[in-house]
Amino acid sequence: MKRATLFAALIAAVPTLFAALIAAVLLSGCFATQPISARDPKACATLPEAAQKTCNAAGQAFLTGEGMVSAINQTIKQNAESPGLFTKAELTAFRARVKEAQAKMDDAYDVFKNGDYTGALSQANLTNALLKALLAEVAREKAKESKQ
Amino acid sequence: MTPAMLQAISMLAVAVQLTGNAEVVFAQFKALSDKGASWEEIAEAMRNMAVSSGADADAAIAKMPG
Repeated sequence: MKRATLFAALIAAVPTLFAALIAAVLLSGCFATQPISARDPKACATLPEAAQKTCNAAGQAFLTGEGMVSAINQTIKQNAESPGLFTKAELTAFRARVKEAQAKMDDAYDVFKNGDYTGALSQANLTNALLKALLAEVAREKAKESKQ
Repeated sequence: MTPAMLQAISMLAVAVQLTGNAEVVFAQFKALSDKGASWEEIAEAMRNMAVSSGADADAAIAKMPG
C-alpha cells in the first residue's frame, strides 16, 4: 500500500476509532467504580445473607443510575449552551431517551420499595446498560455522520 | 485538520465532559456519605438532582435557536 493511500485510510478511520474509544471509555465502567454510599439501604439489613447481597447491589445500582442520569443531563445542558456538535433536534431526542431511562429507574426504585430486590437489581442494571448503550450509540452516529 | 477529525475530536471532548460531570456528581454524593448520610438520604438527593438537572437541560435546549 502506498504511503498516501495508507494515510488516507487512517484519516478515514479516525472518526470510527474515536467513536470506539468513546464507547470503550463509557462502557469500561468509568461511572462509579466504587460504591457511592458507604451505607446500604436499611431495608437490606434484616434480610438473610444471600438476599442482603442482592438488596445491597440493587441499592448501589440505583445510585449509579441516578448519578449517570444527572451527568448526562448536565452534559446535554452544556452542549445546548455551547452549540456546535449537536443540533437542537438531536439534543431533544437524546433528552427524551434519558427521560425514558429515568422513568425506568424510578420503576426499579418502586420495585425495590415493594421488596422485590432481585427484580429491582435486574431492572436497575438493565437501565444502566441502556444508558451506556445510548451514549455509545450517539458516539457511533456522530462518527457515521462525519464520514458522509 | 479534516472536518471528520474535528468532529471526532469534538465527540471525544463530549466523552471527557461527560466523564468529568459523572466524577463531580459521584464525588458530591460520596462526600455526603462520608459525612454520615444514610443510603436513603443519598438516594433521595440523587433522585432530586436527576430531576432538577433534567429540567435545566430542557430549559437550555428550549433556548437553542431553531
